[in-house]
Amino acid sequence: MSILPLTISGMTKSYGAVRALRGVGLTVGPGECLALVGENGAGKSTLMRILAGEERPDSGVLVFNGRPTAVTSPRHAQELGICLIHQELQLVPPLSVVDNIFLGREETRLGVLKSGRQHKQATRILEELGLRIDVTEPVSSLSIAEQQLVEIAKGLLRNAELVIMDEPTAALAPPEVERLFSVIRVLIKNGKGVIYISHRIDEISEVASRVVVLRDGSVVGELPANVSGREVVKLMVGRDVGEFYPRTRQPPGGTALEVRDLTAPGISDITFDLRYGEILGVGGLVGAGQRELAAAIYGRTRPSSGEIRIHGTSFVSLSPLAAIVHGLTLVPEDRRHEGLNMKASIAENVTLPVVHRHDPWGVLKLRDLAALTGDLMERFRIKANSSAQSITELSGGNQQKVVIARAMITQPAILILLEPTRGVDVGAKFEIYELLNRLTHEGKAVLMISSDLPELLGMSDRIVVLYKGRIVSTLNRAEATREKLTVLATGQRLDAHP
Amino acid sequence: MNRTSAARFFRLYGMILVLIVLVAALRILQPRALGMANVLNLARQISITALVSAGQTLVILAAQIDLSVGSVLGLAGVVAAGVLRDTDSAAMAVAAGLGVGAACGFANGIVVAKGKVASFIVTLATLGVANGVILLYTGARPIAVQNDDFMYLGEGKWLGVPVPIILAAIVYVALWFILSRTRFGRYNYAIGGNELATRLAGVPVDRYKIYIFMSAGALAGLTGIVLTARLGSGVPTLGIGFELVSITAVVLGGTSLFGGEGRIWGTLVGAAITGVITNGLSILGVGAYYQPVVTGIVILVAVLADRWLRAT
Repeated sequence: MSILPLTISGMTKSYGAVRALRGVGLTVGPGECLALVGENGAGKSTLMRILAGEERPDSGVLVFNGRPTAVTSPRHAQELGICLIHQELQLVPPLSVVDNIFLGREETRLGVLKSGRQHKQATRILEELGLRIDVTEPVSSLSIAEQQLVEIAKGLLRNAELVIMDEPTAALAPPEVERLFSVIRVLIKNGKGVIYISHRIDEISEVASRVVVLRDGSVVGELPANVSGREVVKLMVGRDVGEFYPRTRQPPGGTALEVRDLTAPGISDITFDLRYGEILGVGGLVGAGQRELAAAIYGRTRPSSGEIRIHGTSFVSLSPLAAIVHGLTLVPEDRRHEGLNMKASIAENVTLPVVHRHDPWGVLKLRDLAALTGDLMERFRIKANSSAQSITELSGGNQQKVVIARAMITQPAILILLEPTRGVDVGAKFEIYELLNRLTHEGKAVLMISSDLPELLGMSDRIVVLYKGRIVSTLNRAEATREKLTVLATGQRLDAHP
Repeated sequence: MNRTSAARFFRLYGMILVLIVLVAALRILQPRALGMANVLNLARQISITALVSAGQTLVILAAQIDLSVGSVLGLAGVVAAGVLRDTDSAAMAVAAGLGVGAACGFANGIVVAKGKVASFIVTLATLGVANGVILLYTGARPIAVQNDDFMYLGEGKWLGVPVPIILAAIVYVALWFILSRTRFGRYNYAIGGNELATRLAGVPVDRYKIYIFMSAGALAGLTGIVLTARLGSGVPTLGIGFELVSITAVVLGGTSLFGGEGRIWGTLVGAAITGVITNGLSILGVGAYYQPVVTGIVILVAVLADRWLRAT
């Protein structure tokens, strides 16, 4: 018996003094995809965790197909048929696809796995989702997009009726996003319910039929999905943000960074110039060499040939330390793993690259460091109680601003940004864009690597497109379109698609 | 006191409460335990554990582990005794002991940092090598020490306070300052908190890892010197078990084994707890074979209690 339609009403949840949910209500029916949007901290995750049995609400009712039910544990949620796909996938990388899919509900006889049966079943479910792979391969050999499908297959094997996806497209390239959308359409056609959480407003109308907007723990609006993105953002933020990409362009200055025939692990023959006052976007499918390009320039890997020139000074290879000394800094992609020390305070994170300049006689001038942090927090609009506050207490957007502030503390002339707004809410996104604007107006050169197409189109002055580690095209702002980027990123030629 | 501030209180002072409870229990079970003679003896014992655990704290804060501190301590002890026998110079002996310790730490550090090998394996290898070298150097026989200047480090008193206690106090004050107020300290925490992010921020991580292991080695060397001076003999088996004792003290002191979180004075409390337990069991006449069993259980209970208190 189906659990749909599912109705939530009057849901409240507080953490200490923080009221995460203040009486939220919504409904999702069979064969329907509901989009749930809201800024970080609006209560989306709390609501989803309640549905998945990871949290208990303070009050409120969950009604599954007319029967009020409390979800008591993640296991209970699974038994009910609720499948939550976390942003950080819950797979065991070294195990095979089939072992992952059956993890926890292996089919056995006398404790011996029925491998053949499992193999067949896993293959069939994945094929329904349009993924033809050898299910004995380890999950770690799959792309993020494929891993996501494995996660969905895992849910389907458990007879999921309601699939909840938390920002599934954050790490996907455009064609992979398309594939995910077709999978969602298949789910809907088969009568499943889908709750789709995303920060990418423009995607919503592609799959969802309704949009529910959360703000500060309450539902502030329910709109048809074909409403304009700007309307949705206005509801989310609570004010009109105007033009979403606030890029004001200017004639660029001299050449800041020249990369010539650079070949390194994952990239070949990369040549481009980056000028002061310019944002050069780097696009392409996930894994087309963007990350490797940044790694090679910043000295995380060793180029096998080619040359990097920073303001005319030539290098065969750099190290992070040497790059910083010569005025080039990198804002890493994954702030939790590569960017921040989550066990430290804001000040300790922000000032890390410069503490050696503030310790005469070997003793840190803590007051100077705190003042320096305070200035940067103001300049970068980092919202926190004090510079001594723990980094874990900040929202994703503010954490990202801390990473950028730390990069700027060494006063670099050239900045490499990887996915500068991933997992950041709309308001903070806008502030980061304004920040990039300001930096380029101050004459900084910015290399922006992003898999967010609208962002790439909205913020870049020029865009280079990578395919299999090579630059296939460089587009000016005026000629770049979503379609052209998608065609180029998949290795096709533009003239074949007039 | 509300729940969060209670949790905070226990996070900071939970182990001090455990220590107070243990001391109170000992006082009730055996009133003579807190007599002057035993307290001084106990403090001296604790100061030895505290010295070797101080270095381990730096290493664990950097999300590494040093299994070689015990063997390095032993090697430094017998080398100091050997140098003393050959030169009769206390200064030379101390320099040799510290030098051996720092050199072992340097070896650990350079292989961990440049060779990219897990510190667990590297220091396990050093443990084995150092144990072997001890036997080769001594022929498995103790080396007698007869030098009053040297013995002063273990047996002497300054203003009525035993010298090992003074040394431990100096080391702890210095490390507290270094960890909270210097670049070295900042980098030590940062490496343990997120090594990759620290490296990408332009910090010379490899060099500081080597410094950290060298500090741990030198402190193990110092402990070996003090113990040798106290026993009046370079004993080949001197360091056995100290790696586990030091790790226990650090963990009891609230430092995360995953690195990046912890305080040096926590380790002092941890060392005191292990000392009080061992000393208390002896005084209460618990048989030698039962002592490690009771110690193990008490430590487990203490850590579980700590975890439980933090979770509420």
